[in-house]
Amino acid sequence: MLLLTAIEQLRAELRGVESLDISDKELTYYVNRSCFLVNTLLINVAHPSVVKEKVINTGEDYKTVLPNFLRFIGNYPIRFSNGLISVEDDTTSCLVRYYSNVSPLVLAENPELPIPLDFQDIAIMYARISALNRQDMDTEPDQLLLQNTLVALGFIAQPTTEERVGVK
Amino acid sequence: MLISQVIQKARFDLGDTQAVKYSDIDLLDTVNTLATMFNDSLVMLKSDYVRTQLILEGSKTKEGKKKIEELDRPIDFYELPSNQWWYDLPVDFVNVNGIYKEDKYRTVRTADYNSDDNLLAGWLALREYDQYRFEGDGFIANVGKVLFSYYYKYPALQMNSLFPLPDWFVPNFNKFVILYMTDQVTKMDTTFMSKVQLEVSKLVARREHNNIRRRLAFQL
Repeated sequence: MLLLTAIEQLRAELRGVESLDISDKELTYYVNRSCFLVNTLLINVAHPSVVKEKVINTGEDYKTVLPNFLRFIGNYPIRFSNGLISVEDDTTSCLVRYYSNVSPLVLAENPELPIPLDFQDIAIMYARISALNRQDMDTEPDQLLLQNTLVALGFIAQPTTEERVGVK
Repeated sequence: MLISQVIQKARFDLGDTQAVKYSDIDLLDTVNTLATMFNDSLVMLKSDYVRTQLILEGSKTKEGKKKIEELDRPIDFYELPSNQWWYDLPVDFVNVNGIYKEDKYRTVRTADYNSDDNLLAGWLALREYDQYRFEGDGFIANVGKVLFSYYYKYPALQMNSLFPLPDWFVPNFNKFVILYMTDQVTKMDTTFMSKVQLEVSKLVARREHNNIRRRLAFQL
C-alpha cells in the first residue's frame, strides 16, 4: 500500500468526525508512528516476515550496512566498536539475521508502507486511534477493536475480565 | 548424518524452524560443546567409538624447552641417547590405549586366537616406564617404529561435517541439545554432565563383548 492510499483510507475511516482540519502531513506522522508500532509488535512475536538477512564484514560501518538496526536473532561472534563492525571469528565476514526498525516515510516521495501487506490494516487502525486522540474523541471502541484483532492474531494474550471491563 | 541435519532436528524440537529464536552459530556451538561431553564420556568408558591406531616413526632429536626470556631465540634441539626415540603425540590425542613394537616372530597363540592373522600378530606390547614413557607433548620409546593405539577427541564440527557418532546416537544427543538451549540453570552444571555420562554409558554398554562363553585355555 502506498502512503497516499493509506492516507486516503484513513480519511475515509475518519469521515463523520471532524477530520477536515487534519493535514496530510499530520496523517503521515500518524502513519509513521503506527508503522513503527506494528513493526515492533511483529518483532516482539518473532514473526518471520520482518526477519532480515545480510553478510557483513569486518571494518564496515554498521549504521550504513544495517540501517535502523535493532537487534540480532540469537548470538553472533560480532562486536560493534566505535560504530564499526568487527567479526570475532576465524573469518572476517558473517551471515547474520537481524531485526531493524522502519524509517519514517516522506509524504512527497509517496513510498510503500514498510511493513508486510497483511498487517497494514492494523497500522491504519493505530493511526485512526492516534488521530481521534488528537481530536479529543472517544477512542475506546477503536481500542477494543484493535485489541480483539491482536488477540485473534495471537500477538497479545487474551485480556483478563478485569482488564476487559476496565476495572483499575 | 550431517551436522546441519542434526541442527535441523533440534530446531524442530525447539519450535524454531524459522530460525527466529536461535542463530545457527548458537546451535553449532551447543552441538560442539555436547559432542565434547559425549567424547569425554566415551573416553572415560574406554569405548572403541573413540579409539584409533597409527603407525608412528620416531625421531632422534627432541625439541628443547625454551626459557621465557629466550623466546625470541630459534628453537634448539638436542640429541637423544642411542636407545631412545622421540614421538610427537597426534593432535587429537586424549588417552593412550597401548603402544606396540614390531616383532615378526611374535604370534599370539591362545586357545581362542590360534591363528597368525589376528590383529596384533607381529606386534608386541611395550611396558610402561620401562620401554616407553610420556613426557609433555610426546613420548620416548626404546624402538624406532611403534603401533600407537589411543583414544582421540573429535575435531571442531562445522555445518557440513559428519556427525562423529552413529545415527542412533542423534535422538539422545538432541535431547541434551534441547536441555542445554532451554535450561539456562544447568548449563555447565556437574549434574548435567553426569546425566550425559549416564546416558552415554547406557548407549554403549557391553558393545564390545558378545554373548558367547569363551573356552578356557586349560581343562580341569
